[in-house]
Amino acid sequence: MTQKKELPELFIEKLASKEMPKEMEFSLRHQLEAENNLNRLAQIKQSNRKILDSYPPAQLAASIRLRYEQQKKTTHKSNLRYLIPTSAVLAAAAAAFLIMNIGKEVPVTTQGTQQPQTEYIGLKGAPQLHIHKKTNTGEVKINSGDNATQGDVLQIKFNSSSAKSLIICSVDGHGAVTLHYPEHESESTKVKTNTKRVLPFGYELDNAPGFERFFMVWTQKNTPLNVGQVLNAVKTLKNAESSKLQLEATLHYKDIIVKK
Amino acid sequence: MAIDVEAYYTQYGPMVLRRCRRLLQNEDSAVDAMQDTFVQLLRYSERLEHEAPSSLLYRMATNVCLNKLRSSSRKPEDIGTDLLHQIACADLPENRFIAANLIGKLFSKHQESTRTIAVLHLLDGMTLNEVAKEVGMSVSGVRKRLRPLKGQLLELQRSE
Repeated sequence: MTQKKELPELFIEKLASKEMPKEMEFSLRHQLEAENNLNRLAQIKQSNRKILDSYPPAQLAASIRLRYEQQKKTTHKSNLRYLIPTSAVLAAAAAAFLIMNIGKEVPVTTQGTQQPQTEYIGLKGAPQLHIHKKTNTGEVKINSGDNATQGDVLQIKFNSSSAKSLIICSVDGHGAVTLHYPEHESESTKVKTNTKRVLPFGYELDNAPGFERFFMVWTQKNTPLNVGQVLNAVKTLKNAESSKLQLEATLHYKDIIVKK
Repeated sequence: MAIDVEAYYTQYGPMVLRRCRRLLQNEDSAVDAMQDTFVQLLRYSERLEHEAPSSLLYRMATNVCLNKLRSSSRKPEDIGTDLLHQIACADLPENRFIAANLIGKLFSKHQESTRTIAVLHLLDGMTLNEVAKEVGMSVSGVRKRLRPLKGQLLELQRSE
């Protein structure tokens, strides 16, 4: 979407603050040299001196502290209105979740079967997909059919078991499809067997209505998966929330539906 | 986490002011926004445990400036064709059920605003990968966050 002609301003500032990771510093300096822009670092140093002369640290620090104290007084009163009912709601929601999920099995739809099958965690051979919701005290496991809300951050994990290639993606109530693993369509879908993995970044639910349905598609064949084909299969589901995924015979899938 | 405000200002204040000047194009507003940025740092100092101060303050400054632009542009005609103003004033489904600041406190996780992400990518020219690394999200997550905004920007451009 954007044509990057020069290094972004943030990178120059981080270089000047010596907060750029070492492994990137060399290449960025090299790029600045190639752009004939090494003087940008010198300009930042000059600008720093000028700003600190115009707005002395002691004076500004005092002003900032005063603002902070003033804002604290204003914020405290309005926070009390939210904190008490919110904490009560959270406690009630946590208790309800525990009661609803004791002994619950994870319903799973497997390609090729007529009826949805229930899979027990620990079934040998089939990879496992796990979704957890991050909370202020840790994580809560999300089973298929459980509720989550816009703004909730979900952690995606998997155990590859016997799968040699896999893809994880999701579709929401708007029909928007998001690829989670691999991170880019061009990356390999190969995985080592019997490997547990936690995807590096949490996934924040947006305001799409109804649901977010997560798919894990895998194969035990050595041939890597075609990410584009799998994403297209998800995009063209007749009913994104309930239809079976139409895939080649050598592919299998599981899904977890997070209700919103 | 206690912060030595004077030390942080000495080290990063000029960077923050440069950022605010660039976005607000007005010295008084920029100095005001710069101070507000450090107030945000005092309020959310625990975030310093997880990331470099320069990155954090740069994004906080961006967010503060966007909020200022948004609150000052009351009428549609104030928005103009400037991309930054369009981003600041775009109608976005940000989390509304509790104020974003309060969520950050309750769950110890800051959710970077879509507008700040948009500025980093669309205005500052950072790639999706670079933005994702900066804000601690997946590339697909960043892409999804930008989707509704890009639709609005295109719409605005088409109507001119």
